Amino acid sequence: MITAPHQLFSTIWRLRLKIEISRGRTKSDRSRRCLLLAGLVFLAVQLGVGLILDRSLPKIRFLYAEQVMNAAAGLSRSPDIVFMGSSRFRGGLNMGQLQEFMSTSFGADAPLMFNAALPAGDPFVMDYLIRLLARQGIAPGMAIIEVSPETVMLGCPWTDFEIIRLITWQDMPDALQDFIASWKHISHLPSSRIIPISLYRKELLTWIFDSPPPYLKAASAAAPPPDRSAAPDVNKGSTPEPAEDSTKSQPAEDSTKSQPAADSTKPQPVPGNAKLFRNYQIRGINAQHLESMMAYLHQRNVSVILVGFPADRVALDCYTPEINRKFMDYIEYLGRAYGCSFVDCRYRVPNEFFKDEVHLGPAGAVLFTHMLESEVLHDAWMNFRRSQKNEYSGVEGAGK
Amino acid sequence: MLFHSFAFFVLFTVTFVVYWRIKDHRIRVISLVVASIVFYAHWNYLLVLLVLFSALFDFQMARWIEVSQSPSRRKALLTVSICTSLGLLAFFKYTNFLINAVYSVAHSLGIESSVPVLQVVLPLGISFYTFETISYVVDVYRGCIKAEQNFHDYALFLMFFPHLIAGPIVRPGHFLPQVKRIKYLNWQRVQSGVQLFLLGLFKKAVIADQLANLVDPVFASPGVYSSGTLRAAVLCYTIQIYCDFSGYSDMAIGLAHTLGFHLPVNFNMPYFALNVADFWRRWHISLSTWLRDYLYIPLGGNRRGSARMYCNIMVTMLLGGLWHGAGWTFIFWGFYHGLLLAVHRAIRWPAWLGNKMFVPFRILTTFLCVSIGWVFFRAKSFPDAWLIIRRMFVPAQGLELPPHVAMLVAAVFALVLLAHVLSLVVNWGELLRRMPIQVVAAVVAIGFILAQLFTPDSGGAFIYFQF
Repeated sequence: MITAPHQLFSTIWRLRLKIEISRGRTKSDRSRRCLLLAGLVFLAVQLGVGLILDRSLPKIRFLYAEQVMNAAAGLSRSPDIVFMGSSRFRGGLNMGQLQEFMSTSFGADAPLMFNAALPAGDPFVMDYLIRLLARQGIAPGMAIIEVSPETVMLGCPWTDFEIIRLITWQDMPDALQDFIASWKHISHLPSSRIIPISLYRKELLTWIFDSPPPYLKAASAAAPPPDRSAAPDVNKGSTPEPAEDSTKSQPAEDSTKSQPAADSTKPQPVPGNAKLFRNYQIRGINAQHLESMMAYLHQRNVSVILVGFPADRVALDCYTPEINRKFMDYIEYLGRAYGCSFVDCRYRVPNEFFKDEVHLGPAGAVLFTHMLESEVLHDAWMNFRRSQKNEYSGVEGAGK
Repeated sequence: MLFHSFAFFVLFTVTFVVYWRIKDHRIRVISLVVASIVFYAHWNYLLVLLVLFSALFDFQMARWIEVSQSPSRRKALLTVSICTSLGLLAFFKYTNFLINAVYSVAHSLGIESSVPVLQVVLPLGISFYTFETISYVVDVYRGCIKAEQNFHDYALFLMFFPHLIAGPIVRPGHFLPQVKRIKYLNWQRVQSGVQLFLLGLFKKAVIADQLANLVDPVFASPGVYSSGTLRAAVLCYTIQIYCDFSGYSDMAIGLAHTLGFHLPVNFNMPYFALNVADFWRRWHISLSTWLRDYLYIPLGGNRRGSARMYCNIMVTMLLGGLWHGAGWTFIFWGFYHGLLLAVHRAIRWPAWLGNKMFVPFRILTTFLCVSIGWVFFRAKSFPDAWLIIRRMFVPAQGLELPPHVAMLVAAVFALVLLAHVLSLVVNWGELLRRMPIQVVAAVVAIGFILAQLFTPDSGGAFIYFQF
């Protein structure tokens, strides 16, 4: 019981202090809840957008594939032969030369060919693309598929590109061992899964505003580009090529996407770096998808020819006898299991025809194309046509 | 690493969690020093040794100054410390500039020889932390503060990662007591820090970096653009440099807030300044006050007659310009502002000019004068700067801005102006306190998402990193 005024004041003061402290705690709690809620909203939006991006493939994340699809849609009919691979196939095949050769050899029976290769086109990409093309009604009779020791290995050098372009939450369990094997080269994994809005902001803005950034741009003071029609284009052919869009931030095999300046000092994953082939094993997401694609094509009676694309001496030196043995054993297994054939052109082109370790220059493209058309495609197409005719006449005979 | 990079986000999150979990105050300080070393080393792990050397050297010099009884010895130690700090700054920042200057003079005298170029890496933040070490040693010498006895406390003063690279330039008397004070996690303060960080991020990533896309090509080739485009580019650069630098300062202050530290305000709506003197009380406040306290006043300030005062103003501003960069355009920019300040001081402004109805006119005039100065600050060379200024005022033909770009520029300018005006009339802190937490949380989250979405691919580095 309060007996004196000073006790009354003391009690009131203690009460006020308690109220102030509890208000302070309330304010602090409020701020903590606010920050927690903001963090949850931020994460939820990021993950939500990430899921939408996964489901809307290839539209926003994988514009190169979208371009290939558009190019395929522009064909007069379903192509007879589809080439699938990476920028090596893309730049190393002179489609015009190829089409001309086949037309000269076969006349009206010449195949319509389509180059569906795209940068960093490993088996994961090829499997995805062939199914997309099938949904569009593309049903080739033959598929020429680029393959090399590095594209079927655990921890393929292009895993980071696949993280940006193709890998979804569903693929994460299967791709885990590839991530572990190539942990030094997968810098985009956290941002692609946790903050995809940041990683794909250019693509998202292009999709939202129907025009790529930057939007604040003065007219360029640079000289107009040189007249491209004057120089021969080794890739010109009868099939419409996807437009080269410099505003797209999709990676070529040796460029980086949305990288801050500091990351440009990282070593690029090209075969010349022998460290990539340490603990070489053929398994993981790319080997799985290669076999999945082979099974898919085999089911649809598509004749498959695997091609070991040429490489220069520096890259070839990375293929130790042990690696070559494992690779060839694997190719043999694929042949037995899926009835495909293999043409090894890796050691066929001299060094001077390369513009870097794995990409052919214009003269090299002419040489390789000639090699392919005369040694592989001509006979392959002839046999394919023969078997088709036999099948047709067999069907007619049965009908009678 | 940039504040808006994923790597920094990881570093800061770890630092924040570890820092507030540690109960021992000394270990807390050391954890921040370690985080700051990691932050700097991410850019260059060798040059972090330079910062540590500067820290150790001046830490020891200050201790010797304090214990020394002899005035001449104290002065000698102070001189050695300042000369060492400035010597390091001069070597890393001004070597090639000085070599080129000497050879230009030699060439004009008819002496021909080849110009050697030294490949000297400019350590990030050297201009900032050099000024901080000098202010520390001078304050100890003057007896304003006691010399630090714990190296980790002094190291944190110098290397605290929010302000290490581009300020604000902190004063030892303001920061060191905070290092010693035991802090308790206050979520209100963390929230304020996060909000301030978001504001800074928006200014930097969304406004400044986007404007750079327009500014950079125009300043690279000013001769091909029309007068209208050049004026727009200058206006954009005026906004860009403000948003870039004040954005960085806001982020730095916000980050420091979350860790319980208070960094000084560095910008106070400088483009609302009524005159050039007022501008320098609002722009890069930490630098202008440093120059005032450690250069202008020691030179005599305005206490030794008018002539000496104008001389002191010019010297201070010339050195201020030189501090910004090793180039004659920076020095000229400093000279230009020194001239404006001297003229402002010299003229007896009529009392009626203080009338409120002249405020917009005074603000616009100051803004125009400052914008012209920025042309020299940004241009690659004097000829380019003069060309831009000439074409700004004398109509010239050239590449025009596309209409939609001109509209976007106008929109950005209107947005920045509106934000400034609202800051004057709205008490944002009170408003946020009254809002439901769901709304505040949504605004913060959406703010970060929009900042991520509109951060351009190109650019990213802060303009003041080069200083």
